[in-house]
Amino acid sequence: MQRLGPSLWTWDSSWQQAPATSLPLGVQKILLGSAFTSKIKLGPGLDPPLVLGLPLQLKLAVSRVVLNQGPKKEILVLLPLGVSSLLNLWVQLQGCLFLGTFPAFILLFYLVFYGFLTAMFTLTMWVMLQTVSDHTPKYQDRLATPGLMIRPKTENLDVIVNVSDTESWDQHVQKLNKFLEPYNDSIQAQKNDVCRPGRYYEQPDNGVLNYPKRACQFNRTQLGDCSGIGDPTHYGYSTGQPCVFIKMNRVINFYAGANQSMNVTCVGKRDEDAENLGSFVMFPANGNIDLMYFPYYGKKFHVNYTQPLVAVKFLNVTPNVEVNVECRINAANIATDDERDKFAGRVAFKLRINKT
Amino acid sequence: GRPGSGWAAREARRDRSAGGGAPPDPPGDMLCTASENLPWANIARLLLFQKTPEIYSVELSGTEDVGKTDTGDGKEKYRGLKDKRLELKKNHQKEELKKEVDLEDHKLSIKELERKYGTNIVTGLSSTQAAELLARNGPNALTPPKETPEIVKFPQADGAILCWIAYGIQYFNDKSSSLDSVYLGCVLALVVILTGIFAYYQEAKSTNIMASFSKMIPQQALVIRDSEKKTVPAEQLVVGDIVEIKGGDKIPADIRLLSTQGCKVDNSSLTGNLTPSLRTHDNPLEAENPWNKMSTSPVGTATGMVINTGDRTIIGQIASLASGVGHEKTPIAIEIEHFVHIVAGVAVSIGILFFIIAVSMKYYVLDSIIFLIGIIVANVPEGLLATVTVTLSLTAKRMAKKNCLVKNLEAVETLGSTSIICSDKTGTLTQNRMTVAHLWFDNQIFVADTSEDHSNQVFDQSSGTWASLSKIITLCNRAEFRPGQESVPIMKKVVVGDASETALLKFSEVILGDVMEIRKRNRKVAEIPFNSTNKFQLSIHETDDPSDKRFLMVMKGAPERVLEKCSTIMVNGQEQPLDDSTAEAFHTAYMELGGLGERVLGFCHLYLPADKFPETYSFDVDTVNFPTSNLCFVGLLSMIDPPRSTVPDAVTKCRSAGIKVIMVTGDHPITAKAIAKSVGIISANSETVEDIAKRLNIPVEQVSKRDAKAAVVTGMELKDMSPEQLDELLTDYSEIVFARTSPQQKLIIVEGCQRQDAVVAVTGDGVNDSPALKKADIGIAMGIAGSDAAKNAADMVLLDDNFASIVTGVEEGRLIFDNLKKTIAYTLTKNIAELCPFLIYIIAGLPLPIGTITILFIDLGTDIIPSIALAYEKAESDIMNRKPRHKKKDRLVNAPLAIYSYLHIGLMQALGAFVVYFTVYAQEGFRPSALINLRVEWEKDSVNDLEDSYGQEWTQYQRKYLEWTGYTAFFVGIMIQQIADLIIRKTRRNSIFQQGLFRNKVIWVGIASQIIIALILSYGLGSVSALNFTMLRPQYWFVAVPHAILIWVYDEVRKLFIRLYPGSWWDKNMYY
Repeated sequence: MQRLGPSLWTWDSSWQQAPATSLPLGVQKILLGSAFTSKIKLGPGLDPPLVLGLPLQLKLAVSRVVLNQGPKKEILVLLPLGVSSLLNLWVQLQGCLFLGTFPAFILLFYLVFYGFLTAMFTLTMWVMLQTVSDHTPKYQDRLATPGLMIRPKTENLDVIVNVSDTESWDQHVQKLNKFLEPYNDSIQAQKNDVCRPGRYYEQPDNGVLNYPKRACQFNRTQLGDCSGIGDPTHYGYSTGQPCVFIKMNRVINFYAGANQSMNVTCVGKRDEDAENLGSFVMFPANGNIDLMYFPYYGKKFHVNYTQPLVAVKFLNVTPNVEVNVECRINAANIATDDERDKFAGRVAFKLRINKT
Repeated sequence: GRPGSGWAAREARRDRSAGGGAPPDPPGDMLCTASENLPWANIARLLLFQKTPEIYSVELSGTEDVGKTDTGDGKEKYRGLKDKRLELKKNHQKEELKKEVDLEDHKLSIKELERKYGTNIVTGLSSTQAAELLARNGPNALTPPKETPEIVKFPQADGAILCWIAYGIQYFNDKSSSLDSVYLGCVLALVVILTGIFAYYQEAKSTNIMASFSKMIPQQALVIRDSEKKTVPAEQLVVGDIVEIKGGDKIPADIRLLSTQGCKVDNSSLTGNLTPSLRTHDNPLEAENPWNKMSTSPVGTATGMVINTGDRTIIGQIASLASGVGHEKTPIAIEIEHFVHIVAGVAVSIGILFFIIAVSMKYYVLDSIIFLIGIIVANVPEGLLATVTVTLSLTAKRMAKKNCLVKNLEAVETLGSTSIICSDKTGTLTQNRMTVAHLWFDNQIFVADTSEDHSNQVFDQSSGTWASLSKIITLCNRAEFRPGQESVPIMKKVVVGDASETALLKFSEVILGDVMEIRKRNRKVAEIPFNSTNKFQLSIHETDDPSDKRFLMVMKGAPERVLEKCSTIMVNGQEQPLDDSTAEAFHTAYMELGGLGERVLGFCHLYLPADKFPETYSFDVDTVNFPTSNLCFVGLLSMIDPPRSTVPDAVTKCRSAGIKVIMVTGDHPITAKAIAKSVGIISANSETVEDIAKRLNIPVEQVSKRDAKAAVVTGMELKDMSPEQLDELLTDYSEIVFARTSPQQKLIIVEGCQRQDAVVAVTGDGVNDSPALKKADIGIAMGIAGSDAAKNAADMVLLDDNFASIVTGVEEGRLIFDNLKKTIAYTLTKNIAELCPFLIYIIAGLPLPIGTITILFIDLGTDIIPSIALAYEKAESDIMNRKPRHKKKDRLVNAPLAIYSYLHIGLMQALGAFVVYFTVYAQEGFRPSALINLRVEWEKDSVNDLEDSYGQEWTQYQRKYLEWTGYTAFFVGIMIQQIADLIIRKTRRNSIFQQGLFRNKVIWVGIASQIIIALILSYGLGSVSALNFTMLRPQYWFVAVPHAILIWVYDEVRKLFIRLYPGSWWDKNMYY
């Protein structure tokens, strides 16, 4: 064991003549503090770190460590003899005055150690990600029942419209415009297929990856009065007859409706809600959702998929009253009575039309 | 508690020891005749105990026996107490105490007394007077010392309050807000309360062990009031009451004796090694009169006047002196406090740091508060208090099996860090009975076996001199075995008689067989008992030799007195004239035996010529109508209270364990030194200043103090020492014996030791040892000899009064300290794994990886049994071969421990647990990249179509369930890695394979419990939504295994380097 005591710490010590079995792998420089080295020209405001009043520079190479501090210089040779030399190095540096009791080598140690941990973590994460396919998630047990959701999306699922106050509903309108843009007939015609209604649009891989998969057209015009095309009433918001769009959550490889037709229905939650709700119309008619939009193959494969929508136009909601509306999907394989998940196959929202 | 209860216990113990053949009562319990010098008392002193069936063996300790009364001693003790009081300078109350001890009542006449106390010795006080006095002076009971249980409080309590505040604000903002934080607050409050109750219960349980010593029998007193005898509770006694005491009663208060009938009192618990003083003393503690409360009166009856009650009695004053001595915090309490400071510091600073970060990241303040709580909960090892308590009580149980009863749980560890033991001599280091150690006859010193059973008497018994000597020993002895002990081994038989005679009786019984039979055959015809003027004892017997009609006169006594009466000496069975050379030989032997600290007795005999003393001769001991000179000297016999056979070994163990053993005794310095040498307290090759002076033949003053390793200091010397001198003494000498010290001086010695930063253990048994016992870091009371006051003041009770038990206690204490380190390291590790999720959650916006309640399930569920299991770990190396820990340097939780637990293993664990977490999310559809900054959307109740990495949409509840699955996964990840952590924590330096993976079975119980609890939580309670657990897919249980293995390997590497490169940087920073 070579042991370097503090006495060897004169800078012309024999260490300089020590057989520097240096491997020319290039000197890696490690910056301690905010900037480093006096030789290299420093930008304005950049100074080497000061330790005990003297600038400290530490250069690490595979085979040696060079420490510069003011006029003092120490080269410590790392003999590639195994770990013992490394451990000894730490012992040596403990004795070095300018490093104090918290030597840079503690930093070095943690650098190496945490580097190793990061590598280990990355490795295990990488291995883990190999178990996950790009195309379908490994498990879908949580998504057995797709949820329902409304547009416009609001903070508390409440659609409040002050008819006289344009600003109150303008944001809804903007959102809806944006939301419905991919459904524009032109875009649909350009990107998506016309499918045969009433049956699933299956695109199996059959051994060869069928990529990208085609999506079926859902044209904005199917939404009738709620399509917002050339609509001066802004989806009815300016007249107090707002459109609310119902959509079903996408779930990969989910055959909604189990080969039977399905539709969305809406009711007032309680009796008084039903009274206040008044009448409404649905687009497509009856709130039907066609089977051809299923199954969904995932974002990556089903590139231009546009999910089917159901628009509900409330025609004569009692003004100035909060109305609780609940819409649910009626499909053979979608349960809508989950106690805990209030959005499984259904959606509840508040509607309020303020008129003066 | 009550003064009465302790006494009852004492009595109960007596009964036990009498019935069960336990060793006879110790020497402290001495009967002293209380009649001789009382001018008004009936004198009935002779042969009292022969009339009374209930009598105890009386064995005196050391050289302090009949005839060696040192009257100055008691005074000195008293002065010690006084000095101490002055030194303490507590407050005026103490001053008052000091004043009150100066009782003068025993010097007053009855008339003066009556006047002083306004009473009448015939009619007593009137009831109204008594009631008045009772109202004025309070009941005759000691004020119990105030005890405030210290419960280590973790910051959970604050957490609970914060939670409720948070809920309050939430509720204020939104009436329908969820009750989550209320639940959390309740759980936290519950944790605080439960751990508090648990700790209290544990304490109470160990206190109960003590309470079981005493049966609560209310003490009654027979008192004369209104000219009638009445029985009143002792608590209602007032000053001036006339009380009657019967044999077996405990004296209910300080009383001034008015009359006695053969009444003796046992005052020993008050004065320690009491010497019977035969005259009225200036010191009320030593005087025959008054008698003090708590003393017991085993025989006779007496009448007395109450002169002090309650706290004003001498015992009360000592009790309040004891409670006035601040009980220092135990080292382990200091360590735990230090640890709590570290943990609280880390928790609070990280909490506040992240609170600030959270606020500046535009989180709501309310959310930030909840984060703060999460961080604190994650950081605080909730289960640790319970774990430490259980660990300590397990050790306490283990120690109780080894005869160390630990009253104060924390004291378990204190013994381990003890660096100085101040031990009593009598009973602790010695067997507590006089035993024949040496014989001198035929110009030769023979060694007798002094081991506990005397089995091996190997000296030459063929000489004719021995035959004569044995006859004298047998005959010139008044001690007798109590009848009905045929089946009891000789050494354990109860003897009626004083200590020396008992020793001689047992000695002769062992060698010669039935002594009583021999005595019967040699009928005693006359006897002069021992008295302090004669200093000899003489009896005349018929001989059992039918052909020899001469009477045999046998005598024993102080050797020089006996020799004076002799003109011949027996050598090899032949009488020879006593010339100068034989006298010289006698003196050499006498000095040598005396120098060993032994009490020497001389024996001589004379066959009275048959012509002058025919068979019918009537001997008259009063006129002494027989010769008492020109006898034949037969031999010397020396006795000592020999050391227990286990003690030298135990002292050696203490030595190698770096513990200094100091002997503190009331005994004579020579005896003390002899015992100290024989047990190794003064090692064979070390000398005192006096020894050196003697060897070099120079005056003591010329000896360089540096040369001497040992010192024998007497109480007189100690009294004149300044604290600085005492410090010097304690540091300069490694082997110290304090002799002739009063129990009060123990306090000074203890304080001196504590000034050296030592952790001091003190043994004691008397009532007035209690201040020292309290002052010591660990007070050790004697279970057999100890008074209740001493036991109350002590932290530990040695059930067998054996010093060796202390050493086993030290070993256990050190082991528990090491194992607590392991437990804490184990417990701290997972804190980082619990904390990181919160930090990542706040900074990177991941869905919360682990919930607060889940954390509590780790801290108080899966981790509890494993951390207790570490208490069963065997020592890694010989813990009795290293120095005691320095109480300020060797901390329980040091920087390497915290850093290694937090920044190495803890971080590895966090990473491993995150892998499990990410796996669960990724396999359900949320890849790691998708999770970053998802938090806000993820937690919004209104977002029910959150898109995952695959384009699927999730409702709020679906996400919530996934989040709980994430909690469970993270929990399982931590649990699996805690198994690895548990295994690595078995050792700190050795490889696990050196220690033995399966040697500690409890560890495996712990691991099994961890897994079973986790399985139950996940599969059994997975459907209970409030607990936030879900059923986890089986494969997720194994995701963290690589990290667990990594932890194990890494730690093995750490230990390998520590072993390979001791003293290196690695060793310094990685060994905790």
